[in-house]
Amino acid sequence: MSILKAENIKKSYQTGEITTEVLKGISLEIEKGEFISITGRSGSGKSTLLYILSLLDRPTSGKVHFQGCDTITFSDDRDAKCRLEHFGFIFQDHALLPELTALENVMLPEMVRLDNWKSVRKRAIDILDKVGLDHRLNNYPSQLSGGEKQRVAVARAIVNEPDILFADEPTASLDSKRADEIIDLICEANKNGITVILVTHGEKHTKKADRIIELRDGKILD
Amino acid sequence: MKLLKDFKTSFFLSARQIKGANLWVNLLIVFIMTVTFLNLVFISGILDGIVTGASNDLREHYSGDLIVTPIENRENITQTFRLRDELDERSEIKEKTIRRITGVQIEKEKEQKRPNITPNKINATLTGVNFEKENSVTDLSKFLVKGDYPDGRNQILIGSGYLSEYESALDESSLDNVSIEDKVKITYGSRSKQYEVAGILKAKFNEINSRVFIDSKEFKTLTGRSRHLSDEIAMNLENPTDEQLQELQTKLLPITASSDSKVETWRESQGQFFDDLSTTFQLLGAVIGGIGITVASITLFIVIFINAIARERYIGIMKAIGIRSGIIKISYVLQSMFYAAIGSAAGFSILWFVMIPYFKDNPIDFPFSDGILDVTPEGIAVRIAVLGVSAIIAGLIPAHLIVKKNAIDSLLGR
Repeated sequence: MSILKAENIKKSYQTGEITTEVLKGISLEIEKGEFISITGRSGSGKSTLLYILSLLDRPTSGKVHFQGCDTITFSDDRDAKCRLEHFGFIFQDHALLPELTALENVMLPEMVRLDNWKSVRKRAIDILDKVGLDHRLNNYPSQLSGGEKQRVAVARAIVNEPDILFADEPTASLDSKRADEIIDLICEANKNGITVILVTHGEKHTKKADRIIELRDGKILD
Repeated sequence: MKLLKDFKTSFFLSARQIKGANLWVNLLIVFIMTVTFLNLVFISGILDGIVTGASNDLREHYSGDLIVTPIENRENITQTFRLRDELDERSEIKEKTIRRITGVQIEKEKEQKRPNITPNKINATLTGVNFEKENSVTDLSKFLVKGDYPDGRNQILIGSGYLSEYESALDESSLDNVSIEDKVKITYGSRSKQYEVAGILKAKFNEINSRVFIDSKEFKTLTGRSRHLSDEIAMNLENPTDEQLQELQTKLLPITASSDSKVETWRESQGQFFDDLSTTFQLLGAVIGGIGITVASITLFIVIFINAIARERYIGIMKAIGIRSGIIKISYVLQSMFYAAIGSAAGFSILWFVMIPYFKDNPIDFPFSDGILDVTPEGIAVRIAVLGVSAIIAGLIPAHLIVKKNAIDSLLGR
């Protein structure tokens, strides 16, 4: 059974009397452990698709099934619970909370989930160590470089051992070397059994994926 | 358990947000909350203080803790000496003063008598007392603004309300050019006698301002009234509680009844007036305080709302990584409550250690009392609670407005 399944997803935005159709009936199935790369030009709808698949946004019509459950029926809190327990996110820019240290940013999702904050802290330190930031634990995002911030974001995304890691152009604001480092970390997560859905328009990084889904004008290109 | 965990996370987030916020913004919000707290307490405290001040003055300088007066339809307390002896047997009574009161005319003769000149004469209330005992009960000498406390039978004290020299005096019922050591003639019916003005009394209530005090033996000489008849017996107990007063009042009721009199506590003797005044002032204080709390709530609302809007993207991030809306909302409410708590604590410190001692030493000079700041721990607790509830509402509404938005819309600032 697929871990994530989208059925005829449509998404449109209304601006005054103008309706813009961003996704025009997307259907796809993603198996557990797969590394999917979603590519396409700007405005092709790849980020919108990622947001809908990750329950951050709702489709105008169509269904998203996660582990066999129809997520359309989920409440906001159930969406949040699902994201907390099963999903990890890496955004284009780091999306770290500025008033939390690197360690606290990584700890935060697990603090919501678990009672024992000591073990949460220990696990966050281990993850930050894995991404090479054991010396930056108590630094605030403003004290980190772009690459370091994104590595903290990766650590935060995988700290809860998610079923699916969603990454929305995570290397867009990084130089080539730092971008490779981030992709390597994502690949390593995939090797550890985490399903990865990576949105990117960099051809170089799509090569690491098991499957490439290319979008054009809101549709999957055959 | 889940609630506790959520609360812990909310607390963590709010603590980090406060720590990460601009210091001056934090100080400004705390300052607003402090001023609001003081506004809530100060206005109502001063209004209460006016009433309490006037009420306390009457207790301390007129009625004492308990006062005996004639019952309705009786002009005087009868069998005063028997009653006095009964009261003497009560060890609870520390001190007492017996007053005899009647209407007289007082005249100060003008130096040049001419037929068409209005005589310098007024009607006044003459009060016969034992000056020493009266002073021990009511501290009458405290109100001397001129002259000395009498030491002879032919001396009197005159309330400033009868003298044109004092602004409180009414023109048509006041004596001109009366000062200490002047001789005035007091007439009761057909009897008259000259007395020397030993001192002039000025207080903020009529029971002193509109009375002329004379030695009780002279009162009998002048009026010829039996010394068995009196009009007021004021007495003090040793630091009495309300319960002790009521207990003694109950014991004295049968004794006073046989003297055609009744005994009232100081509070009862002041009647409904102060209670009504207090209620009115409390209402006024509540209205002014309500306006203050509304302004503060709106200010806090705006500050929290702007803060939430500025942090909308971060709220989106938190929602994206799975933090429930409730946790985020509570974190804003806790921030708001933190500001209210710190503001209340600062306000309380200023109130307790600066304002209350200051107004105790420097009461505001109101026409009918010395305005002190009358605040009780219960009153302060209620105001802190009001401020807390306002802070919760002011924190919750803006947080709710922002948090209810779709996570991705918040994240992308749409």
